[in-house]
Amino acid sequence: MTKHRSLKHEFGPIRIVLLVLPALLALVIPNAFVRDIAILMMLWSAAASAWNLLGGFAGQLSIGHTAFFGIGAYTSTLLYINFSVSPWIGMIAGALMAALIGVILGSITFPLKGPFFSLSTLAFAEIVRIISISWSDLTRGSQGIVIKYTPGFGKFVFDSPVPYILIAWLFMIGVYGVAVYFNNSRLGFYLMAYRESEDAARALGINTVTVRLKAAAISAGLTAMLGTFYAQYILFIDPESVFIVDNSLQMVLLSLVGGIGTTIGPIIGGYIMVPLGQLLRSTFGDAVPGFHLVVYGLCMVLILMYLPGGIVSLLNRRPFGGIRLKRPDRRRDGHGSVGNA
Amino acid sequence: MSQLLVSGILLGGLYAMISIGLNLIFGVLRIVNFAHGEFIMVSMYLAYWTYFYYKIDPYISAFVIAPLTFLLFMTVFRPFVVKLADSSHLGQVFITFGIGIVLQNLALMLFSADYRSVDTAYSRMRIALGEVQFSLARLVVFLLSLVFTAALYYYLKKSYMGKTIRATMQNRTVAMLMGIDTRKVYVFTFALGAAITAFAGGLLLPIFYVYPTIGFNFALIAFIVVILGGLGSIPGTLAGGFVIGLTEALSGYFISASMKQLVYFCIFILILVLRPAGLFGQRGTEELGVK
Repeated sequence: MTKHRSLKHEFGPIRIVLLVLPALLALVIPNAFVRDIAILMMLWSAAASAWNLLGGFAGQLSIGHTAFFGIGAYTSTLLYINFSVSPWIGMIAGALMAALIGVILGSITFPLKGPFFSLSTLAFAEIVRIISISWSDLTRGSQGIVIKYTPGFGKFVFDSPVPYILIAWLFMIGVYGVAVYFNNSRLGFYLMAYRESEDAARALGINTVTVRLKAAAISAGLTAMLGTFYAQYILFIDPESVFIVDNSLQMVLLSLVGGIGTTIGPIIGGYIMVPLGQLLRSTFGDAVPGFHLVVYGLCMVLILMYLPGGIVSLLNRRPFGGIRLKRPDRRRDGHGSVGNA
Repeated sequence: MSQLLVSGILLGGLYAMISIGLNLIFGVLRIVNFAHGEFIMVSMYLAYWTYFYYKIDPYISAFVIAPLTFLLFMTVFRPFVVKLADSSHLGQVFITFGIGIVLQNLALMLFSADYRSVDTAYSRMRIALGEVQFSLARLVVFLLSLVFTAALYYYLKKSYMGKTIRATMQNRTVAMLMGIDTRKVYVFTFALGAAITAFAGGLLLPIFYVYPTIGFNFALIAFIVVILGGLGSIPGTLAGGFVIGLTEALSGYFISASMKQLVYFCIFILILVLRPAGLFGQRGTEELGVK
């Protein structure tokens, strides 16, 4: 079990450097490609960290988070396009919407265990994607929506990458802060207790459903806010970019690579995998289509097979409070017999 | 109407065919195999290229590709299967997903994103019974899915190996104490599942175009069918296939073609929530080996 760690540890010098460095580099280097990578990196690090609140701390491995991402992107964009509501307000609306849907989804799917929960969230995300394509009166279907390029703070559109870097960085720090809160608060302890043993947690009087619903709402809301940011940065959204299952997988993958169930892990995962993916794509993407994803997939498989604790487990040999990725010892792995479950 | 029912049932047989292999791997072994669709895709390409270069009919090459797949998984990929069986569910999901990405993009690199299909003598042949029409290739898949279901059902029920597989599924520890080499069972069952999947891929070639991303939808349908039918239940897979096939045919006709997926995803969530053991699964078995 995780020991209580002080804030000193969560904001130690190495972590401060890790958290500040990408934004600083992106601000100093006036190269469009570097800045684009930095923004996407911080965006996905934050998204992975938001996923990790539910997936890592509570062990509820959702592969449907792209639905919340897309709901955030579509809510703010539709409000802006149709009613000229500032995307900043739309972002809040999207977050509330996603949190509500997250709670509804959670109350339906939380009784499910292990892979069944994951599959049900995947099915949910697919349902949302199909609805977003077929309800074309509202969403313009697979055509997508272009957000007009009219710079201005209230419109959440900027003519220089600097504000985007700062906002992405603030998002990342914000989500990290929530993760630190989870790691040191009663809510987080309840979630981790649930993750380690549902029976024990319930025996101690923890309402395991309520705490997971809270985590789901927070995780979904934060993911939706990042969806809005994505829409305002790219200025174009369609179902294939914001509702596609690859987004969910990206969030899980970054957490896994960095160290699932830890505060800094998903962010480190983002620092490694996003630039890797972008560099591979820009180097080989045109010459040999598919090659960059072959390498990306191989890295993913190798890290998962040979470093199941993620990068963080290398940096810190002490138990980091992450999820155990290996099954318990076979010989002691007693399953109940049929009918007893 | 009868046309709809017939095409729904034939489609159901096809879905059952692509799901039987997954039922062995996911239903029996509880290895969440997200590369299932890519297994189908790879075997379709294998059948395609043997047809393209050697003019060997996909129905014949399937009988070569399937045993070959079995042997490969029993030997070369053996350590990989063992490693996979030892990982947690989360690890399995993402290791197999990673493998899926690699296979998919290797296919993209090697064969490009072109849609390819074979043009055999029978792939356009249609059979008419009164006013009902259907293609011969789909009928073949349907009949073979019945044969495979029956054969596998009796194999698991009656043979010694089948009994050890079921024992391992019910309780790994006790199976081990009874002297069953559970690791061998794992590798064998995984290889068998992969081989049946490869066989199904060959059968699909005369019906569908093959392209690198074809696997994802097949994999989703296979997961739905396996859970709907009941994990580990072979007749359940057949029934699940029929339910999904009929649902797709009917909702495609009565609602709209684009909504058919929506309908079966909703059915999927409902089944998971209301009866996670599936239609034919033994109650409670769904939680074996989970958490």
